[in-house]
Amino acid sequence: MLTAQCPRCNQPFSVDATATHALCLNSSCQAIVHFAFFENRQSAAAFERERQPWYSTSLEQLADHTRWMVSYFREPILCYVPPPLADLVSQEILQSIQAGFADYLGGPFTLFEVSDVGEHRRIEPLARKGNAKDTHSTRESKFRNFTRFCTVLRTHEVDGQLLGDMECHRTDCRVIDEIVSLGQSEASSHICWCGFVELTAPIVVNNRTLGVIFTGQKRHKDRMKQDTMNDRIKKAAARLGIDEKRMLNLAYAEDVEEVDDHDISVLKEELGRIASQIQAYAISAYQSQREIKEREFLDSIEDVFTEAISMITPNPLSIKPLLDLILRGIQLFTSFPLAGLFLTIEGQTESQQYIAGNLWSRSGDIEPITVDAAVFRLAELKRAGPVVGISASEWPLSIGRQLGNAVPGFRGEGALATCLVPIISSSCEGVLILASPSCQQISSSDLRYISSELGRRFLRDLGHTVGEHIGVCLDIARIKHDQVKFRHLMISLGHEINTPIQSMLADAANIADELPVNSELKEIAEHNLEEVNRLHLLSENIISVLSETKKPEAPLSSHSVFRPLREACEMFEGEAAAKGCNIIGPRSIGSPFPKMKMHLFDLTLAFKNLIHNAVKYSFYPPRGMEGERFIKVIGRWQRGKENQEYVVEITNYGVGIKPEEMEKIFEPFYRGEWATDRNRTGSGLGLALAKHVIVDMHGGKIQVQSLPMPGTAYLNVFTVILPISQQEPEQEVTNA
Amino acid sequence: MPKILWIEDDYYHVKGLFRRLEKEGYTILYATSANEAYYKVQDWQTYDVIVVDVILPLRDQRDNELLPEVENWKQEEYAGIGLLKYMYRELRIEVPVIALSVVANKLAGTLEALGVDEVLLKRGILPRQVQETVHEVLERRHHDTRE
Repeated sequence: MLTAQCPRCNQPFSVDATATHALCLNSSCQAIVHFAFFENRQSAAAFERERQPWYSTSLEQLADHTRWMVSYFREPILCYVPPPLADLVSQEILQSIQAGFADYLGGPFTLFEVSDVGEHRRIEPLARKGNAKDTHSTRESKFRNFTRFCTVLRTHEVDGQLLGDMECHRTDCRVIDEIVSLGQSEASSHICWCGFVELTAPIVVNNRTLGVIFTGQKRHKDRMKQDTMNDRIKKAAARLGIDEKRMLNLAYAEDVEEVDDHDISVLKEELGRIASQIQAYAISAYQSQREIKEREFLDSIEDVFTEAISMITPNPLSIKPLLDLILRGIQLFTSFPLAGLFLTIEGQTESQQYIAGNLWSRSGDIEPITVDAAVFRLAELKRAGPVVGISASEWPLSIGRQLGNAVPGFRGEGALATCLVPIISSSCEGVLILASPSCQQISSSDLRYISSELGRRFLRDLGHTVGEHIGVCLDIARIKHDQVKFRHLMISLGHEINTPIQSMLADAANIADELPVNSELKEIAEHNLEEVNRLHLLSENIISVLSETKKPEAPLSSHSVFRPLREACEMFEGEAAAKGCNIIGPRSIGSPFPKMKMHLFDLTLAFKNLIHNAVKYSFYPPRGMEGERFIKVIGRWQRGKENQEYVVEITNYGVGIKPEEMEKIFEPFYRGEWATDRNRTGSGLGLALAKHVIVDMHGGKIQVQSLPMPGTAYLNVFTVILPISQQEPEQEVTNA
Repeated sequence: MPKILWIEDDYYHVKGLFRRLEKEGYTILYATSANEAYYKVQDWQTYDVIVVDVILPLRDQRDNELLPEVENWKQEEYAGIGLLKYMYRELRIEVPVIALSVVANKLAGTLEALGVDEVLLKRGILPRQVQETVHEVLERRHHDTRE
């Protein structure tokens, strides 16, 4: 374990000694940090001296850096695999890179990792390297770093034809021998190697040699006889079709005076070109892999979102789908089972806290907790397994600081948790915390949980998305909250208005009553009374509609059906008389009005609306028909008493109702097409309310008929059917 | 002529409702707060009808201290309910009572269970309806006592 520092933000973190790349854990930095290891102390020192900004923030930048590294050190980076490497790389990505190389080379090949540690030397196909620990333990420190750069790429035969060779390794004769013996005989004959050359990378594609990359080192040269060396170089040159002298020059690149600068620069150029080409393939393979994965992910996530949103929309106070979503998302990109899930709601405004509290507490499994409690739980849970936290709290920093104060071993923000994903939206800020089982110290193995930059990006995006959704939820909740408040306000306003209306109504009725029949003001007073009546009805309707979820508050009480009907008729008889269409009734035919269990005042309001409608939409009767055109309010038993249905018919002659409107007129705010002419005012609430009272509150039915009559008038019949149980004793009512 | 006690804090605004009765010769007496109602219902025998608005302010306009006897009316949702309970259960009044209130629809069941003779909703009610109701309860009582 090494302690490293992000070159970009100076954030310290721990990293496995064998790691070559890591992601900076600082959530605001997120640089891809490169770790270069050099066997050659000199070059390491040189690197230190001429240190470049050694991090990338994108794959493109990473490619540039790698190219620069190649030209600077002339080290083989041809086997370069974009991050994360080896331990960090997922099998899928590895395969995709291999496929990328294969495309470039015209056929498939295998990646080998070579380690050469004296007696313990081994060559394993990288793909089969299941147990990393085991391999690591057999290595000597010198080669631990070395192996990262010594990946051997070898071709295999496809359809009996050798497609190409490619090597890139620090040469040791024994290693090469083994590679050769491991590979196919044809392949070995195409491997070009020189024993004394420290680094060699012959690149052969389709039997055509593209070039050889190598660097020399004195001690190898000293170890071997010059002749043998030269022989091998010559042999290789012959095999590669390169001029012998040039080959020799190249072979002694660093040590031999005769090698001219031109040769080296040509070699460098070639190396750089090939390296960048392969890299481009690797990167594009990696990216296409990522795109596929992203596409798949987006497809699946879209389903989840659709589902989640559909669940949320009718009930904004449910956050559960979002939590499920987060868990599913995390499972997509990480591999750990969750030990716990918590969320914090601190640092909000009071109203947000209230709403968030509601939100969380309704999600079922999860209770809202404070940051302090979260810290405590994190400390508890870290023994059991990873923790995911969602916070509707302040910026991660504050949580990080609090976590830092509370938990030993915490260094700087985010060090306790593997990942802090900010959740940001217009109305909500928070952090998603992923913590590892051993979250006292971050290790490179923790990074495995977030398997790639893609995973990291996913989590970040998820954070945003979740944040947005939480924000939306909060907004919806707030709007609902406001609506409820507004409705209560309107209802209480409605009640406030009632007293002056009642006052005006009583006075208007008294004035209209007491004025002498033929006085000039009588008509005005009566009209005034009509208007106050209408005002009263309107205010009642508005209150009823606003308290839409109205449950029958009062228990049913037993009254004669006559009572609400009489009250309604009395209220509008003046207005009806003024229109020349007197109200006849209420009358019950065949038997007195029965008693029934009712919500008296609601039923009265319903009848008031129906009768007022009848009055409002009546025509003045044509001459000669004054005696025929009444508004009739008639009650009777439907098909006998035993049928238990009492029918009240309210009949008028006037504005018709179109057949296609028969249902619609009972919808709130709908006004009949013909009803809107003739300056008839209305709110479109009355019939909706009447239906609600009769159908929902009393289990009755309401029907309407509209028959064209001679002239322009229609005969409209509103039929109210009330269910009346026979146990109710009939009341002797004198029909006035 | 009959005497009516009308317990109603807002009587000034809605007194038109009793105009027809006044013109008939009825005497209307008012009580506008819990304290006042408490005092006036003590001589319930002197009234022929008591009309109660269940929404009754505990404090009167002079902001006098609440009577200790009225103190526990506060436990009810509406002080008028406390008053009615006091009237029926402690004073054991025998005059007819009409509840006239804007919340009568909500409380109809409770009021009937207490023994109130008639429940009227003080929303859109006409003076004639008040007059008829008073006549009805008086007649009914008269009828009952005659029997």
